[in-house]
Amino acid sequence: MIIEIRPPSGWPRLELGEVWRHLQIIKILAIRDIKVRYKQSIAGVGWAVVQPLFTVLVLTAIFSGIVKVPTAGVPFPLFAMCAMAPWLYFVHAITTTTSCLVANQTLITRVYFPRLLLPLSTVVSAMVDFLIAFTLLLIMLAWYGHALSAKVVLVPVFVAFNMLNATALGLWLSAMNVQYRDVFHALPFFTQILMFLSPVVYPASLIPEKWQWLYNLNPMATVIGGFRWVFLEGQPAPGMHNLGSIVVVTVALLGGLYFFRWQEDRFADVV
Amino acid sequence: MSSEQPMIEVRGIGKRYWVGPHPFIDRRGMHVLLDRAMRAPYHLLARKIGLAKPPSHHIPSRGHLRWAIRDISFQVAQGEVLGILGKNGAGKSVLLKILSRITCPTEGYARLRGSVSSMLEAGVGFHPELTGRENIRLSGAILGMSKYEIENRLDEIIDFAQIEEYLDTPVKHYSSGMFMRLGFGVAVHLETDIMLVDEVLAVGDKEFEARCVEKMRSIVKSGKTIIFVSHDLAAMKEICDRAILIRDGGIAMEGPPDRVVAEYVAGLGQDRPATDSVMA
Repeated sequence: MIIEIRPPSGWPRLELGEVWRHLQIIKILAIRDIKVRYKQSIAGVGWAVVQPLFTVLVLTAIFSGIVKVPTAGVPFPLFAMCAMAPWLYFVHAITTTTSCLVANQTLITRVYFPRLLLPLSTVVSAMVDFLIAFTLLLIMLAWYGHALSAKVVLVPVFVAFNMLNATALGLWLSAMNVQYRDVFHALPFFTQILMFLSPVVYPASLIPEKWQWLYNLNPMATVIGGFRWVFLEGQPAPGMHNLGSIVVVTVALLGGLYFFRWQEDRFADVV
Repeated sequence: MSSEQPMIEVRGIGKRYWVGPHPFIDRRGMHVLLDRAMRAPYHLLARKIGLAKPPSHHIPSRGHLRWAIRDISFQVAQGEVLGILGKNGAGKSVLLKILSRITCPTEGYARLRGSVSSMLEAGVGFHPELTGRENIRLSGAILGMSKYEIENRLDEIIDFAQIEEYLDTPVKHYSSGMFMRLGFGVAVHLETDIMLVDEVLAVGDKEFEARCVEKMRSIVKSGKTIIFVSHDLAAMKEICDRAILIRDGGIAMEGPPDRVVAEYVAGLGQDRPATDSVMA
């Protein structure tokens, strides 16, 4: 084993093999984050149940009780929960990922390991939220007497796409946040706007035909649309119109990896 | 890979840092612009009607680049222990951080033949909310131990740190001594070819310090290649085969530890008032 040290120059190399060799650390950091998250709180992990449940409750009261959002005959709580499970994961994942480098400042300035492990571990640890919200979704489906169809086998595809989407964005945001904490302050605002641009409280079919192509570039439209199609009746199936979002995620992910690696050399000096 | 080749080879390593305010945030940030905008009317008015000159607000200086270390070159042979001496701020830690790959050099080149572990601080990767046992696993993994190695050494580490009783207590409730002992315990049980050690011996009481020096001795005997930064001059003379003195970011002297220590002590005297005695 020979380690060569020289100043950074040229195009950064991804060195994903090195990340692969340290996969164990992703697991350990993710477990640490999960263990630590609800320490010294009474409700503890109950918060991960309360949050999606009450959000769905309030959304139902407003968008089903007051504003009548068309859901193609699907009970609104189910309609909303199909979006909330992937959406809350996405928000939680990019929020924790954005601050993961700053939060692990001592690690970054004291020990060497591929820095990519940090954002990857937060994207993984946020899955706890998803699994809890997903369980709630399954319980609600049973409650409303919805049987699961064979389409369920495609859930992992949409979950994986959601994770890749969160990773792509998280790589950009976390690396920028090291240098400019503005990113952290802008994030809640950004996710709020993104929620209105995603079919969380309304069906994507409400968007005018001539804007559909633009709307469908949003990866969350694909993820939420996919969830609704899998679990509910009479929802539009995913298809060619989702290709754009796949391109968006691929480009953002590759770009994010290179951007992160390019910025990485400065992390220990700037953070 | 012949044993003739040096384990560590450092050629002309240098690192330049930006010193002073951030060019955008501190000079063009919103708070600076707001501050200026709010003072502007008063400044204008003062000039128009000839009021007393308002206090001019502070604009941070531009800042500049500064070499923390430069032109550092040396080699360390297999099994050799190299001591690095120097005053605070001389650049010792920057050098170790570059060799640990924590930060990048601005110029130069270095090659290390073998696995590397660095002890820049006791308790790296510890999380205050986790227990001692959990932290051994966490820190061990981050410092590069495999799962198997950690389980193998767990008892040894616990024994070394003498914290059996508090093993399942969150480390936030540890005394600072216990925390340091546990951190050092994890670090010294790393099995790597090259160890970079920065000033971690001064942790805890005399008894623990003696145990640390003893442990260092056995590591030295096991034939590892070590770079050792310390202000403990006695330990330096005893453990090291060779020493380097760093002054103002460059190598001022290289040679046998006792001569380098003597030079270092003499250098300390020069900066201090003549009446101040130097304690070695």
